[in-house]
Amino acid sequence: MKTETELTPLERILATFEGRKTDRIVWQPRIDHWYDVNKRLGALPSKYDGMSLLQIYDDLRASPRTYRFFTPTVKVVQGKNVEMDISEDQDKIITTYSTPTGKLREVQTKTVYGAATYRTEYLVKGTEDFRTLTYILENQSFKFDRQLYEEISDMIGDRSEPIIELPWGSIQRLTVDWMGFERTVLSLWKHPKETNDLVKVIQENDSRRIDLVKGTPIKFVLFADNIDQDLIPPPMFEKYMLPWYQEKTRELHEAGKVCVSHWDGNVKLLLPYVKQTGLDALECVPPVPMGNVTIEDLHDALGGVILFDGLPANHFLNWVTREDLKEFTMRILRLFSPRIILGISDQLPPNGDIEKVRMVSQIVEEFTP
Amino acid sequence: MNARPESWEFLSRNDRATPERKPMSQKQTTLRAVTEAFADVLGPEEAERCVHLALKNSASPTEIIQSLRDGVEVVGQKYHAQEYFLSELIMAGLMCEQAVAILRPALASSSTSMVGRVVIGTVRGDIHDIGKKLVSTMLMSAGFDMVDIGVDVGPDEFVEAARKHSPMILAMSCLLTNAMDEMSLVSKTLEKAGLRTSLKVLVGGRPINENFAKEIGADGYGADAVEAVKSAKSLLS
Repeated sequence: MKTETELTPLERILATFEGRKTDRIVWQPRIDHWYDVNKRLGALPSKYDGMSLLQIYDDLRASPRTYRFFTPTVKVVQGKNVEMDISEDQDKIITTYSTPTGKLREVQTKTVYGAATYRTEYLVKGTEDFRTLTYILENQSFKFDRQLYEEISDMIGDRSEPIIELPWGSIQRLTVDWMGFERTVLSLWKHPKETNDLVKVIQENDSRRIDLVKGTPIKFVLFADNIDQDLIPPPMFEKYMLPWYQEKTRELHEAGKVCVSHWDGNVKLLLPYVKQTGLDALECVPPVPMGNVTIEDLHDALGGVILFDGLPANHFLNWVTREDLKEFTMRILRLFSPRIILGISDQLPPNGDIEKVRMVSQIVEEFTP
Repeated sequence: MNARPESWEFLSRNDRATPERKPMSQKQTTLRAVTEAFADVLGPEEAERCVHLALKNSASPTEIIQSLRDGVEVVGQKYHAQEYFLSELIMAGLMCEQAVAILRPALASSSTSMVGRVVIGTVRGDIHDIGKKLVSTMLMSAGFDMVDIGVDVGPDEFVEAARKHSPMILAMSCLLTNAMDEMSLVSKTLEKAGLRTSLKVLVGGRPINENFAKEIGADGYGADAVEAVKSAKSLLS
């Protein structure tokens, strides 16, 4: 319960981004996957039986990262000649698109006790599918579900900031979502013009989505790009992602938005670009031992850019002691405060220790920014 | 030497100076071309062209494989030096597959012996396979006989594969932290099956480090595909 002098987590987040003093660092561990898997297994701690994710966050005295809740407020509307069908059984989710120019199919296989999926068949198999994907994207539109937004805002309250997730940007949409890394590399090699033309179509589609988001009340926008220096090495980052970020952060800033991007791989070679991107914050950026940057490297590279997360996920597993986690937490708080929304890089694993999350809540409450 | 297609230039920069060359026989020239095609990652079509040309000029499959390995070694060095990236490793892998497919019939009938057999898989609960495939390709180009048993592989499947293929090394990969426990489980399942002492266990993947490898009793660890090859070779020496 908030005392008269305490800020709410939402107030703290806004103060952090507006450069105002805050009474406490926000602790915002992502525990969604831990919750989903353990709920399916019937392995949630008994005290959490029957509790919702938000209720668990309240029990832990932590703030939720809310794109799971707010992202569905932006609906994708298929063109009138595009028929999208989703079928699901216990093992797979199959999505098909039928259009006048052809059909596309994607298969996602369920894993981790059904709490997650991975693509076993990518939507785009080769350049022969580019025309159909182009048709789908050019005929898509987007709409904002304001009623849903109001309902979710009431539900979240002042626990956290509304944040909406955008799909992977530019070439990452092909690499991660629609073609896979190997096929994208080969496609760039063998069919550079066609592949780059398709990237332009993807960007135009995303631009329409972003135009809609600009007009919504949601202030925080996450580019869910899964940046990693192996998937997007510096030459590709300079060619595709940097111009994309620069253009879109400029537009979103003019609309009063805050721009965050999810960089969850090894990023040491890409850190020199951060200040050029226009991003206000980076999410995740796993430090050593999970990634290839120390928190000191990260601090130096970010400058005024804010860090979301920072505690390595493996520190919440059994083979890292509570003392080591505590020491890491204090180190990162001292280094980054107040320009940090503390969380787990990348999130609490399903076999992570929820009581370590509680321990960090205590540390954060006792730490003065 | 063919230049890379212009479209490839943005992926990495190739500033290697052309060294002075002593006069060589036609066969040596074509073998050098194989090495350079791989070192410069010129693509599967170029790999195919160079291999055929070398065969036409009386190079043996074993000599061609050695030239290929020399080129792939350069790729590994450049990857470590951060001149090449994953995209180059992927392309080098595709080139190796192309070359080995052409040479396989001749290799099978020759006296070339493999260094050893490796069974490789991504552990249960994890479906990432780019790293695994890269390791597999690099090990294959280093002379190992590879058996890839795929992703999301449970302990019993690893044991079954070990029984069926009698590998010298069983290699496990994972990218997800929640899959790390599975590596320990595989090791224990191999012990229960009485197979643990008959092979070496090699582990790798982003969340894995040397401490973890030691903790679960693995024999070797590779921080990346290049290190995995070094580790595999040292396990058999």
